[in-house]
Amino acid sequence: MIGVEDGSASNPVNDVQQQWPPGEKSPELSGLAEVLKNPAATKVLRFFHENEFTMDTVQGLALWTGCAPHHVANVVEALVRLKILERVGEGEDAVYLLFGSSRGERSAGKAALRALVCGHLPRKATL
Amino acid sequence: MSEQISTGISGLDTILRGGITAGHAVLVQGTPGAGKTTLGLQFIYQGALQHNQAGLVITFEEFPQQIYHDALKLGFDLKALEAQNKLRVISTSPAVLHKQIQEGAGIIQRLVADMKVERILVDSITHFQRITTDPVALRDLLNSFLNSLRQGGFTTMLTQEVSHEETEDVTFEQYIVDCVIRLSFALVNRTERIRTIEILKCRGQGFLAGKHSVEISEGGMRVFPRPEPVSRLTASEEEGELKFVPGIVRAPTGIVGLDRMLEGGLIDGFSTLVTGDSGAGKSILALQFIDAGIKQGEKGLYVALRENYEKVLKTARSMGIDLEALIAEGKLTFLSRSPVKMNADALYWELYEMLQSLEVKRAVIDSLTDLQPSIDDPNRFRDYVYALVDLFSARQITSIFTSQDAGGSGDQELVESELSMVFDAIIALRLRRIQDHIRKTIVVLKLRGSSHDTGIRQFKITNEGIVVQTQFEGPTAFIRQLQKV
Repeated sequence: MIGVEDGSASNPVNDVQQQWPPGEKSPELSGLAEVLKNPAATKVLRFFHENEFTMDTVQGLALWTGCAPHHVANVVEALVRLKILERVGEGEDAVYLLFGSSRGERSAGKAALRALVCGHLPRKATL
Repeated sequence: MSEQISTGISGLDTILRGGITAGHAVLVQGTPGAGKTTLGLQFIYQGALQHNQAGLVITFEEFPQQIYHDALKLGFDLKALEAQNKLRVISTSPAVLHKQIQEGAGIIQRLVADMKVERILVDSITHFQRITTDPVALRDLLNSFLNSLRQGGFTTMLTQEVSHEETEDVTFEQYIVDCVIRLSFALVNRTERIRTIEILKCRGQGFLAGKHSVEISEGGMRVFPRPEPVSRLTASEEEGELKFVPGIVRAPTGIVGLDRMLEGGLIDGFSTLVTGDSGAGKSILALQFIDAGIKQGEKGLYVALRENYEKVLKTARSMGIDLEALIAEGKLTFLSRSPVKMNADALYWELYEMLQSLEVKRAVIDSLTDLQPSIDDPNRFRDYVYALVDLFSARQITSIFTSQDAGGSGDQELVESELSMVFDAIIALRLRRIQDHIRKTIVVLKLRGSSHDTGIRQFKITNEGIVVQTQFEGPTAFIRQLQKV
């Protein structure tokens, strides 16, 4: 359970699962709470939420968010496993973008991201 | 011949003589704040909105959320067009973009094909230095990138930062693109900045060279092409052209004595400079000229640059002219603009647009003296006045331009001055000090294509306006008259 700014508490796993279309296999969300503890997670999630057509490498995302590249790498890989982001390519050149973007089916990834950002992240980013 | 497409920026297509060539790469250079991103966004937004050409905005530095926000303040709802699949703002890195474009089957390629993208903005290519700072490698990289875009048939705008406003340095990027636009936000008079735009290069098409003024406000960027006079006839042709034509139509000024001096009035469709000392009565003459026109059914246009509306109203009222009523009846169009921070080019285009719909027969610009500070170069000022005169004479509008002449300049210098060459007629109003008396005099210095009275005449300003009196015979005769009294 993760507390939000107004003091209420909800379950991010449930919120993300609810966004997944019925019949489609939902992602493995057991690691979500762990991901959200990473200091870079808030910034990366918020960045993708506000700039939904972003497509960039770990290095590029580190520049956009002001986070250390190794933190960003951990977060984006976790978000790929959670089917919030998708990865195209491998290694340093791997590009991360909102899940489903490469197939033009972004709605599930976008809704899951919105549920997370609006329900489980502080309203203001911190340094 | 390749098709020209509209940039979506008012006035810029005029400078480019129709727009930019489809499929070309356009480099937009400028210092921070000069308006590069605004120009690029307007090109994309208007392309999608007005011409149904989908657009892609690629940003390497500014957050898309900031771009949406800033664009909305200018009236561009980018998100609405994104929802219609006509526009996309992508934040990425130069290396990712370059690789995607080169590979030919990347995510961007797919997106571009799905959306049928025709216009692309890359903001800014300065960031390609993140890939390499080696000049040769950078040139090759950008060349390859541009060639990929050209082969894709996209019309592309690429922004680039420059470090100095007035730099004449030529960058290699200028060579590899098809068109170069330079935006400037330069300091003038040590306290103010003005925006200008200049086309430095445009392959395969003509353009209006030189700097043109720019304004950015709600609605986006607006360019005011520098007014250009129409080409003049050669001196020999002119002699033949402007011979006295008997039966020429006269435009009475409404001042009986002056009309007599002009042998009937000003010449219909001609432009007159009314110059002279401050307080001599130039504006009053101009108001009487407008009023006389209205009395014979000719609509007027009065452009007040010195006095505000209230002051002109009071002056006119003191002579029995009810400007408010004339405006209300649609007989007079009154335009008042402050000379402070005046954009002369914007005024020209405002008048131009106004005259497209107004049926005006007489016009007054009061005064040129207030326009001059906004145009620092004397040659440019002369060309500007030429263009204004042409604007009126092309529509057969009889016009009066007032001007306060520099103290001490004689009539001969005035007639021979560069500016006076622009006008068909010159009338000088003077304050002459004789012992402890000030006398007002009027003289017609020039009236092209017509004979006129050459005497210096004395006049008074009464509650009916200017009343031309007897011939002014100089100080000796004047003193003799005083002694008689």
